[in-house]
Amino acid sequence: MSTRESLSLEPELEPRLKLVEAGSHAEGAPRTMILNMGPQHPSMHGVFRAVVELDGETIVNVRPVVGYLHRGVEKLAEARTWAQVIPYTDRLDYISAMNNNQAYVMAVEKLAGIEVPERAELIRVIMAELNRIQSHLMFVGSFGLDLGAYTPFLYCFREREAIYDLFEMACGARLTTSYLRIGGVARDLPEGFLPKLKELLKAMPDHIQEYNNVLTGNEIFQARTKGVGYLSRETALAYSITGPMLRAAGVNYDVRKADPYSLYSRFDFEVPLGQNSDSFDRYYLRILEMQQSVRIVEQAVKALEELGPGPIQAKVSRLLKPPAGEAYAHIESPKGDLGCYVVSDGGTKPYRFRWRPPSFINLQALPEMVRGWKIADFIAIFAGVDIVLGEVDR
Amino acid sequence: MAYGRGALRGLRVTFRNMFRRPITVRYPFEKLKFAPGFRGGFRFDRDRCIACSQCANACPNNVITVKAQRGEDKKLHLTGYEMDLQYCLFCGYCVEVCPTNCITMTDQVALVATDRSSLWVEFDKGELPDPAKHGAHAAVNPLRAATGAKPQGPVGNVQPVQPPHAAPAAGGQAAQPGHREGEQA
Repeated sequence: MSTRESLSLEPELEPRLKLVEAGSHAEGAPRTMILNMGPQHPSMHGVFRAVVELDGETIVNVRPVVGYLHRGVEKLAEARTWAQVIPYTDRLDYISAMNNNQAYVMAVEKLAGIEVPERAELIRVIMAELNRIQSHLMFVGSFGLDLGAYTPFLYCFREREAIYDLFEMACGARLTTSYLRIGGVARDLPEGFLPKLKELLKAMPDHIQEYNNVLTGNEIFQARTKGVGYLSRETALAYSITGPMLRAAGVNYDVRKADPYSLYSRFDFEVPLGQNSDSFDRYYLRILEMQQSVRIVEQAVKALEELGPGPIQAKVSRLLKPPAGEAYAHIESPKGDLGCYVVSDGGTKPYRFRWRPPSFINLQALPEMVRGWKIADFIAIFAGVDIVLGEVDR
Repeated sequence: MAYGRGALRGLRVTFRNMFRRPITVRYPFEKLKFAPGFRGGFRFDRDRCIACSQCANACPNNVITVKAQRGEDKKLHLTGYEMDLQYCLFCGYCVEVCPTNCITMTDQVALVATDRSSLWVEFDKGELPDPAKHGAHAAVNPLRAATGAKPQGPVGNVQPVQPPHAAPAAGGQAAQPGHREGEQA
């Protein structure tokens, strides 16, 4: 039960709370009660708080309360030079640092008109797709964990560890990679990277089969997710939902196909679509996306080997001064359509740096999905959104 | 019967995995090697530093302070190299721009401290003190040794300094071992 203090943020819930406090038998008392989940609830992904209004066990309404992890990155960036912003983008969606790096450097490259060498672009694609696999592994693992399946979590983290090892080889860090640079990448791939990567790619289909055997095919898991948390196609579009959540509703929108960037138009891959727009579809879509990402990495590795050694950095001044103007670049991050908007006044620092985090926008549809479901289903629906609070709160 | 089939298939995977070799190691008794080029702690070679301050300019968070004096030969001479590691992002920009490779990164990862002032370190020559060499106290807080909180035997080559927000240093040389004396870890 929430306290009065924590509810002071919810003005419309306040009168109802008073009635609840007066006792459920009092005249005119609503049949609902208010339950505060988070910001330190074990199944909340990060410091997220949900104020849930319940009628018995049925959810009447939910208010997502965000902002506990706000660090003001957009403002911080205004006091950094263009290159110095990159380490900050790592810490937005910290599960997929490579994709964040990519969105930012693409925006700056667009602004400054920098041509990226082909080898660097191929390395970027490999890293971005590896990061997508890694982020989806994290999702699959934690999704099972939220529903009480502990084992798949450990299997997922085994492969995730292998990908982190590859990141460590390439850029010296596992989580906060800071690998991409304006005009290229920080370092060339080290010796032994590609053989290790190929080994992982070869084993990946078997591993995905293992997750399917342990989790996807499990009847209890299916009973808890199938048909749960329906979100109609129209509502999803009205909320500007992107990423796997939108595709689970059957809308074919993937930035890699809809607005091809980097070298994605060169690779052969499919965009998996869901039909039922429920929690299960959102989960299974990510498994299918992992398979497609493996395909892209395989093609990129082949292209990289054919290309041979070459420059990985375009000639960029160390103290970059892009011409005054603005640029917007967006990519398909593991969570959805990730956009970065930068404004330059011709100086060494961004005049404005704006981040469009997909999970913040996807989170807004949470009330639409959970209304009418039981409190236990809330976890299954919420986990399916796949939010990262570093990105939501920025 | 059909209902439990999926669960049984899952259990079969678990059963097969029971006979696989473990993929984890018994940390901290066994440690895996980091990849070369890992971005951990710092090593600083004072002799090679030309006091160009490029590292300080590249740093996103103003972690590095380069103190230099112009000598009689009109060349810059390094008088102090300080880092406020509490703000370090470990992005490696300082290492990337260094023209003489005098600042490099090591695979030291245990850089945890219980108070902020001990994260202000001055490098003389060498890397941050190795926690393994300085007993249990330093292992918990390797940088504590750098502030000279307790005599711990050899504390490497890191000289303690007064943090700038504390009392203003009387002389140019800010080394004041024991300014945190008596404080409990």
